Amino acid sequence: MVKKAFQNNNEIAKKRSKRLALILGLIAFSFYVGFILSNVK
Amino acid sequence: MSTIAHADHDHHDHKPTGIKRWLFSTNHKDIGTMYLVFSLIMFFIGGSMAMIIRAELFQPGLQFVDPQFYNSMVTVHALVMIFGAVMPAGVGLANWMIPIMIGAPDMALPRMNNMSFWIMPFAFALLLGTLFMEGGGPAGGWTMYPPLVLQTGKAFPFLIFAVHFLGISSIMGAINIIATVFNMRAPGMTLMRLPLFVWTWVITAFLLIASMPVLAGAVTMLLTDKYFGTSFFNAAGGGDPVLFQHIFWFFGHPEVYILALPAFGIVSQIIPTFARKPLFGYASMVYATASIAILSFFVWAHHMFTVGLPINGELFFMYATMLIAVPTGVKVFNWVATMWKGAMTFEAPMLFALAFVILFTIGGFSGLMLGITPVDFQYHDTYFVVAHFHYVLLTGAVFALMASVYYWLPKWTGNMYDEKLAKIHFWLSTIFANVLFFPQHFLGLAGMPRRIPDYSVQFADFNMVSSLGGFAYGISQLLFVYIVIKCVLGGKKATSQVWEGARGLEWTLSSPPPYHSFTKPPKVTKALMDY
Repeated sequence: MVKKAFQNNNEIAKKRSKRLALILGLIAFSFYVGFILSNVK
Repeated sequence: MSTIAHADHDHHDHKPTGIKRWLFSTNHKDIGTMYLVFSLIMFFIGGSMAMIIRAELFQPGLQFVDPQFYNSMVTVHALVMIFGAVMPAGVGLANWMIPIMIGAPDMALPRMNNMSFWIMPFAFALLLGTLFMEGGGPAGGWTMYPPLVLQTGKAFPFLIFAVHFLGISSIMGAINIIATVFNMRAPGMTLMRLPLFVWTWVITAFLLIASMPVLAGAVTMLLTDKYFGTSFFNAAGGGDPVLFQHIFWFFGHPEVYILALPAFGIVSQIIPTFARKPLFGYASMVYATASIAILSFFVWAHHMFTVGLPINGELFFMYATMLIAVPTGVKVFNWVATMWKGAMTFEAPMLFALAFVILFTIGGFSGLMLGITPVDFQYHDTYFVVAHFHYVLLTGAVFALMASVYYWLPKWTGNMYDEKLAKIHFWLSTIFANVLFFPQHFLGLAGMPRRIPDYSVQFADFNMVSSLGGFAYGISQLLFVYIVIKCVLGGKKATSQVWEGARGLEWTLSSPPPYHSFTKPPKVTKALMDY
């Protein structure tokens, strides 16, 4: 089903999406960890 | 309209059947439908809790439930409505509409899309399950302030894990929306041609990514305070309970806009359609949305004026709060200007959108009143606050969601809904929502505190009126379910265009759209998006 939906979408868009997702995920996770650590005395 | 190269999708309309279609779905329309159905179920679960609250408050004295259970209802009603009803409805609409509005075949990350939906039923099973536990559900309010929330019994870890899961689900959904809009737009769909609904969702997604980890961090710290001996919020151990309030509202105020911005986007789609005019001031709408989002990170302490902040801090947060009225005013002005001299008709989506503009503005004005520091000392933690945020979230966000369902239901199902019944639903909802919430302004101004199961007799009359409005509003929503089911099962066939004044890529697809749409990217021109 995934292949079907993307059959005409180019590989670059897929790669870019995964890379962007990874970056945004890391940003969110670093906010989470950073917020906790910044409050540790 | 004729300039678009239509996608050849006739040969790709096969779809999986049975339970697997839903369980393993990576199709944005199916996942969007699941989000919307889930949200409707949660709307009724949260609504039934509201009915219990209003039944208890129908007259002074303890009637039906004990105070502990009442507090649980207040807490879980809020969590269910915010995280289970309004947010998933917005994500459901985003799933359904964003790919077909920007000419994409699906969301950018379909498997992650499936996961972000299926996390939610488990999270709510954890949360709602606590109501049947020994000691009952969480009862410290949706704000989870320590030290009160730390007195929660066995429900506590379930509450914390449910909030974590909901945060993960929201962040994954937000990442998917950003990746889709930035990487999957059809040729010619420039950023400044994006439909306003898409713009508001992109900005909302950034808000989610910035604010949800903060909430997750705060509840993790609560968890470690309770079970691992830390003292983040424990004054006896060197911590500070007010720190939690700062952290919570740093998330909590952007959260208000996470609920409201998609509603702004919906209304910005509907008003031009039924006014048969382009949206007035498109660029200013985009900039106003971004301004509201940015400013929302600098106003959090207006929720905590009474905790004893330094006077300069209070003044800063008061002025910053006033500042949000400027971009919000731009939006309201633009909606009104769009209607000015338009050839308006008043179908159900337009009626709900108009009610949104008027009633959300009332909620905005009461918000301004609450944002004035010295005045807030009188209103804080009274029913005035309850009236304010229900005008923003119910007659604001939920009315916009209702408008969107009537607006897009013919596109989703291929059938027109029953317009007469929808108008009856609109009038019942509008009248009774006001009967329900308007008297609560007076109760708050007269000093009735929020989150109490019993009250002084001087508040009896307005509470009775409010409860009657609540029961009538709740019952009238059953009509909405009937209208939706009736439309799904059949009715007058909808055309591709559905509404005479509708513009945009989604209206070039058949109603309902094929299972796989835009497998070949369409070409977007200015003429397609304009009037």
